[in-house]
Amino acid sequence: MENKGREIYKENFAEYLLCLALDVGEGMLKNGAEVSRVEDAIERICRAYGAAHVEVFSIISVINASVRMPDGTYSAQMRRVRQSGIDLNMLEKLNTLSREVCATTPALEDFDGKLHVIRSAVSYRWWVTLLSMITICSGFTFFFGGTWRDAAVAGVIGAVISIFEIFPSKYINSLLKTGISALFIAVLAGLSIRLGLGENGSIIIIGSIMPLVPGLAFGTAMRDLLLGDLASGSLKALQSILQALMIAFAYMIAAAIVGGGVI
Amino acid sequence: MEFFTYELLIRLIASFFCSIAFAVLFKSATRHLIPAGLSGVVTYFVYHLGLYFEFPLFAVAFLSTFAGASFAELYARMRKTPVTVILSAAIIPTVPGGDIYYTMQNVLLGNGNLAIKYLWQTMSIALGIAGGIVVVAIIFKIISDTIAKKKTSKT
Repeated sequence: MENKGREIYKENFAEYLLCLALDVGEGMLKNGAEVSRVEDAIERICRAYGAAHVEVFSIISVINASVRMPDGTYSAQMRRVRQSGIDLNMLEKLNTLSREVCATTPALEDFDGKLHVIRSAVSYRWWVTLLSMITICSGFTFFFGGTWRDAAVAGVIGAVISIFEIFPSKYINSLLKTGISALFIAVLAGLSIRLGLGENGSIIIIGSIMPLVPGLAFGTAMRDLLLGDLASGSLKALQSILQALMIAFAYMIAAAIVGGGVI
Repeated sequence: MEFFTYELLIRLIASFFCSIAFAVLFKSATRHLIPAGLSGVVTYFVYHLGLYFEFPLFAVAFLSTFAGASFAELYARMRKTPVTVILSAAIIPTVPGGDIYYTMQNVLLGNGNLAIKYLWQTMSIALGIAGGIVVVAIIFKIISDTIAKKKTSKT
């Protein structure tokens, strides 16, 4: 990720080019781009710099690429991609950068500099995330027919689970995060009914689990499958099904804690 | 069943703000937030139309995703951004959160028939969303490929 250790790549043009192209690809893949777009971007960048032969293969957690220049120099690199939170703004900037680089082919050092600027940019502040989480939970509570009191409870629940969004942890993967968040939601909703704060337990839960439901993930998984990316499509589909099961599992534990009749 | 109800108004407003909030959660740029909200409104409006004309649930989900995803693709082509930027917000009002919940609840309460009914609804909506995204993606890919071909053949 950091620019340390780049020096070893700089001596060989092919190595350096492929390293930068993979940086772009890794950033796009991490932040929610489709696999085909990532493969396409890496190939285009390498071709723009005059590569004679480029091969790229990517699934959601790894990118493999090799490039051969016309003078015979050769590079093959592999990049392990670890999923963290999606940042569509960074994806967009990387996409623009890859278009720009393909059109103008600047010196690799300039390319590197621009890439570094994009990657070190910060997006929204923590309280904006908090506010959006509260909006989602309360908004969907209204959407599914909840009352003002239900929406208020859902807003508090949203504030609690936004902690997991604001402080991303390396040790908790996304499945576990979903499970813990769902558990918190169901337990808090159940307690609110017990204490007489909320009116409709199920509507509060439905509204609050909306940020966790893998709707888009399942949709893009199907798109990847039907457009021919079998490997990443089936991995994504499995991921979203497991996520839905995780929510169900957490709900069952919560029902055991607060009593199934309440929620 | 009346078409313009108080409930519809509430749901359209909720779709607008929730889609924006999802766009913020996925860290979209600020200039895409209002279009993201509008895409949610488009999706829910078509969803409501489908329910009004009593289409099967799969068709309702398919049509509303089709509308939302077309909006997202058109916007993405106009502004030259990846489709995901709007698409992630556009399908939010269709996501079957309620049905997933009722499936789990009925499994827990031991109501097998009801659980299967809600599971069936969840699956129809999920497949409808997936179908909508795929069909729109294919249509726009064909269109952009033909435009690209015309451009290269001219020069």
